[in-house]
Amino acid sequence: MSSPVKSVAIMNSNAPLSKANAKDALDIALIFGSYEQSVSLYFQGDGVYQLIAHQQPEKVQQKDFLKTFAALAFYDIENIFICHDSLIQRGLADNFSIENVQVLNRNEFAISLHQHQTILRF
Amino acid sequence: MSMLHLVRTSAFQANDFEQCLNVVQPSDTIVLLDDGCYNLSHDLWQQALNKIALPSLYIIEAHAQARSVNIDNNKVNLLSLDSLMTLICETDKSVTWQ
Repeated sequence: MSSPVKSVAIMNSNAPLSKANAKDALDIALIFGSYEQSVSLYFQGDGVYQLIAHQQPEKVQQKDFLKTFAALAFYDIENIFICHDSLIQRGLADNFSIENVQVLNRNEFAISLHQHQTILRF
Repeated sequence: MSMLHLVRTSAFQANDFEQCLNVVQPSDTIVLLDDGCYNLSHDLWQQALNKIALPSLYIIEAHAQARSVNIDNNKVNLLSLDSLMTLICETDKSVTWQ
């Protein structure tokens, strides 16, 4: 299965605050978005921590780049998928900092990811 | 001789914390900091509780708050960064797991 238009998936696999991966991935998503390229965001493993509500990066002297997730809708980035198994494994509830997040089980997550031609993993 | 274990990575992603638990002794102290805070909800934390008494298990408060990690007082004690400095200075040996 492949969509007629070439599409990009960004796979987020790292927690947000200790490394720059999450911020880099978000920046790239917004760049694709501003050029109206089709981009979907996937969150797996420790990447699911990026979307958890009530984080306070300022407590560790970091700029709250997580707020920027709220801007995704303005860039027409509406395909945001999160792996249910990764949430369960970490004892996390479906309590996200943004709306419009789709929680998929492992199989649905895999099938959805396979619809993209390019996958960038951070 | 007691040892201070500074755990800085998530056990969901790396096996540093598991390795830490393999060498930990009952008289040791464990501090969760940075992404190590996520270990509080990992099954391995129960092993830490079994091996070390609660008063010697700590989490850095600011690091946990930054990550929206829920603190259960029956599982861990809060520690400020200032107190961590004191703890490090008081301990003759420390290992950083990262």
